[in-house]
Amino acid sequence: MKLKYFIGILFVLVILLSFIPKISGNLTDVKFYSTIDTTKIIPVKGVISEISNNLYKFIDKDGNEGKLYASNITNKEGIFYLKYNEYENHFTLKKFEKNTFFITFPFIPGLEEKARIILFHVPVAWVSVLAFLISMFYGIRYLKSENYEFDVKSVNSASLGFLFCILATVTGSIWARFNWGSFWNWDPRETSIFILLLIYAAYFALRSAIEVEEKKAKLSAVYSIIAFVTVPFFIFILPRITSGLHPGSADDLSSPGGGPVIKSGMSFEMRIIFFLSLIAFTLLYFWIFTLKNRVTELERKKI
Amino acid sequence: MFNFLEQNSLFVVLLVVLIIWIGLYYEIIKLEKRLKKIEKKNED
Repeated sequence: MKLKYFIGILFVLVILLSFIPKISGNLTDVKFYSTIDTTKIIPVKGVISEISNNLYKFIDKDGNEGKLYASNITNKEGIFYLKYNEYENHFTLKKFEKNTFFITFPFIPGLEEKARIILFHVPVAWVSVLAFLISMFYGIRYLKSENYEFDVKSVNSASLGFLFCILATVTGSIWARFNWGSFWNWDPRETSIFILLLIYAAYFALRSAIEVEEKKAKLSAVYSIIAFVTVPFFIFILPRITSGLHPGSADDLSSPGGGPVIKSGMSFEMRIIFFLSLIAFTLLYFWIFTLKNRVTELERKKI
Repeated sequence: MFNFLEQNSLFVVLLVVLIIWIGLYYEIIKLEKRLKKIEKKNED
């Protein structure tokens, strides 16, 4: 099968799989968050069986059991929106939704539906790092061989990486507006991606400032290597050793001492969809990259 | 608008996907323009 059709199918699959599954916690979540916020209603996927009039035995997706007090239930299986009654040790039903899809996403307090953004936001950021890496790779190859082709590839990869970097910043800033309250918070990761954008903006400024082709290619190849040297520090090290709002920061309780963003709160099914999305974006990057290379090749032949 | 998005946070996800799509579409439009220039030169 041709790569472009495969990418298309993969993207349809990823978008469907990231929107269709419903959010579902378990009974432990309901008990825990009822002590923090008494008005909170949490969706739980599970099966019920009747014990007596209006009283049901509830088994959630993880096998936890609890007593559910509800009236007029016709369905035995689905997503139950529950509240916990601490004094009588039973759950009450607030809303019911049918659920026929076998995958659910975990309930993450604060994020809830917005947890799905991680399936797009993180792969885009990853592709930008990959594109910068490939830009450096072709920069080195240009310096070795002085072949004009490698210079073109280096620029094309850097410009795609810059686009993906901007997309990651914009999507992250929209996510931040709804979760952290403001579009920009100067969180370590936000600060470092901002500096990274400046570094690569300087790369394009440098290129457009030099008119002699050979000098331009040589200088920008050297600059692309220096620019990439800072990337691991800004993306992988700095956000993990400082405390911040992103998951995986040094003060993140779910991964003490810092760690990758994806370690936080994702279930097994969600992680599989995440890696599908990662593959889809990576392949899409390679496809657009080769397209750009072909166009620049044509442009060069026509001159 | 913000209140609507805050209450229906699934639409925030949709907004994020759309922004990524717009960004990629912009890249493809730029490529198409460059190709058109080459085609014009070819005709001349």
